[in-house]
Amino acid sequence: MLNAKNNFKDEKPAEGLEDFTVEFCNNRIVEIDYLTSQLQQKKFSEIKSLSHKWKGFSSPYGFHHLEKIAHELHSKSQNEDYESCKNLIQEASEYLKQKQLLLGDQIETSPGH
Amino acid sequence: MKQVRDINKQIKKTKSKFILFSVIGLLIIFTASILAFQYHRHFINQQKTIQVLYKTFNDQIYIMHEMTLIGEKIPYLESEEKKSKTINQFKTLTLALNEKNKVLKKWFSLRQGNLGVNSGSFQDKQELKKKIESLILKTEKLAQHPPQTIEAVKNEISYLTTHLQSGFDDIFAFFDTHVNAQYQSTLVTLDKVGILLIILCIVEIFLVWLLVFKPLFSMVVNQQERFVDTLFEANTASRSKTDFLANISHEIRTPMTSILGYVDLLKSKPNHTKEELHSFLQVIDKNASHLLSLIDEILDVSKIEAGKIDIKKEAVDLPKLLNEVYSLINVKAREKKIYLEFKNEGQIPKIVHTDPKRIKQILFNTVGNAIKFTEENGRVELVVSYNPELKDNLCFRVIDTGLGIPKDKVNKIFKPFEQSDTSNSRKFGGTGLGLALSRGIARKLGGNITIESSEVNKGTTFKITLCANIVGEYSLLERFSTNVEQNPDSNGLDKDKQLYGKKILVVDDAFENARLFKIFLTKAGAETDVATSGVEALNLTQNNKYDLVLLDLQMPGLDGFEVLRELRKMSFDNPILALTAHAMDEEKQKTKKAGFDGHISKPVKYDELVEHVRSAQRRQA
Repeated sequence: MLNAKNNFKDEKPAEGLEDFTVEFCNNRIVEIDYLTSQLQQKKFSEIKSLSHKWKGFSSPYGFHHLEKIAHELHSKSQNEDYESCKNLIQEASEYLKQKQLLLGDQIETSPGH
Repeated sequence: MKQVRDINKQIKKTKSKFILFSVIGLLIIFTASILAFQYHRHFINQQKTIQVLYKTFNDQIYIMHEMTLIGEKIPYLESEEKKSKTINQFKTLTLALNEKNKVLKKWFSLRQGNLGVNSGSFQDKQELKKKIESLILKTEKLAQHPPQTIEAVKNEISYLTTHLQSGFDDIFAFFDTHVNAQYQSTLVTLDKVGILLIILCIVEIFLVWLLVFKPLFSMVVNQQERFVDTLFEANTASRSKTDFLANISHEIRTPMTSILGYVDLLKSKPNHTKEELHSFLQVIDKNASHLLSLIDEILDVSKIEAGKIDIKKEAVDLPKLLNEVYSLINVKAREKKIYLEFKNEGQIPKIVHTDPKRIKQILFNTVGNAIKFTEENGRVELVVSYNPELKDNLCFRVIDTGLGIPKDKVNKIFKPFEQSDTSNSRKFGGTGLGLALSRGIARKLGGNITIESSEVNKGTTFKITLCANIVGEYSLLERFSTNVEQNPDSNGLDKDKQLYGKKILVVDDAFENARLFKIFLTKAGAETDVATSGVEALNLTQNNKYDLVLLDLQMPGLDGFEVLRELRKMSFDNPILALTAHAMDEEKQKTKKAGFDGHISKPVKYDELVEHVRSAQRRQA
């Protein structure tokens, strides 16, 4: 399990994307709910697809740790490893909350996926 | 040394000429003098003889006159004593006359009957000869048989005065006329000979001056001037070297001072922050590198002057080399907001046989100089061309809009240790070695560096030519360019506009990815459209002209591979790059095989993205 309690203050987005980090964080938090529901339905392909996307764009927005989680999640979802996927989704959720605090903004509660 | 040997040869040649002319001249004058002398002597002898003859004739006439007087006295002689005395006087006179005629006879016999007179007709001369012979005969006879009686004396006197007197008169008249004429003629001839001798002397003196002394004098004067020039150049070179040493000392001290200063800082304070340490080390590294470059330059210049610069030729990818140079040198250009572009004029070869290290050295020096001496917002271009018909077939033109070079400094800047401005207040720094070094290298590579044009405050064009033959198959590039116009962006975006003027389509169903790419590409100056599906991408492509497409592989509906096929069917021939989070080689092979022009693995950084796009553009060019 990856350690979600690191200090993520040093994670910086690429130049030009600073204004979009809050939105990015919000969107990922919404997707956490989606991932949770897909996991419950054991729809690993959906988890794999979404984690694949997270791999591709997390770092430029300054969410480097999320990229690492996404790599693991992609791999575990390919293996249909329920427990690992659950833990990783949990870790991602905690990470995003920390980022949210760091970014200093209130996120709208998601209406559900 | 060669000059000295040439001069020695000339001097020896001149010396031989001088001796030859002198000998010939002297021989001619000597011969002419001898001839003139002989002629003169002959003339003198002739005159002497004629004088003698004249005297003889005069004496004879005198004697004849005396005889005539005696004859006149005879009728008045009364005593026998007086008559006897008169007879004796006559005898004496006849003897004297005979003596005089002996001289005449001797002269006549010596000349073998030739009167020795050039003028006068043959007939006259023959008559005169007879008269002279008759005269001689008669006086001989008279001398041998002198008259014994007064009557006989009277008769002889009568005969002499009748026959010989006129003969003497004729002879005298003849000689008087013709000898005088001959005398005048001889004098004229002597005059002419004299004048001829004088002319010969003058001509000889003139020829010696023209062919010997004048060339020798010119040679000496020229040599003197050359020595003075050489001395002046040597003094100038010495002063230049002194200036150079002052410059070099300054150029070495400045970075050394920095290095030592920062080392002291490091030693003085034990706890520096990571950033401080990094900053200090960067400065030390930069200055040390600069020092090393300076030393290398000095060594290279020395090698060139000694003719020992090493050249190692190999097959060189010319566009690749130019891109490498451009990448490094563009950093300096961007710092000064100078537009820098490398491009071709006409076809250029892809692979050439040359020394890549030395070409880079030349380009770094010349383009670096152009950037150094161009103010902010200026322009520097490197234009490459190739003419296989010329020996120095590869040509680079470095064109800048900089300060320009004054006409009187144009030749100076290529000399080692000299710069256009060597005053202490020069603001650009430098050692004055770069151009000298570059030119030396260019010449070693079979070419040269010259200033094609320069105007103060307008700019300069340097022309660099090299001999670089095409390697392998004859492969030429139609178009090569490294950059597009930089446009100072007024909305505050990054000044790096490497993709300025390009229109790019990003196709990705994840809008955050698409947005990410759009922001990066816009930052690089490109105009970017976004499609979130394959269908949208095809519609946009039909209505717009894109220079490049970035295409996500995994999309719902039409995936990346299908969109690629459709785009090619639509005759879209520009580069299409695959975007995917899969970074494995298999994935790359797959996209290559499918016909993608490149593969970008996500997550992508800004620099990587821009480089991928530019590489794809260059490959297409």
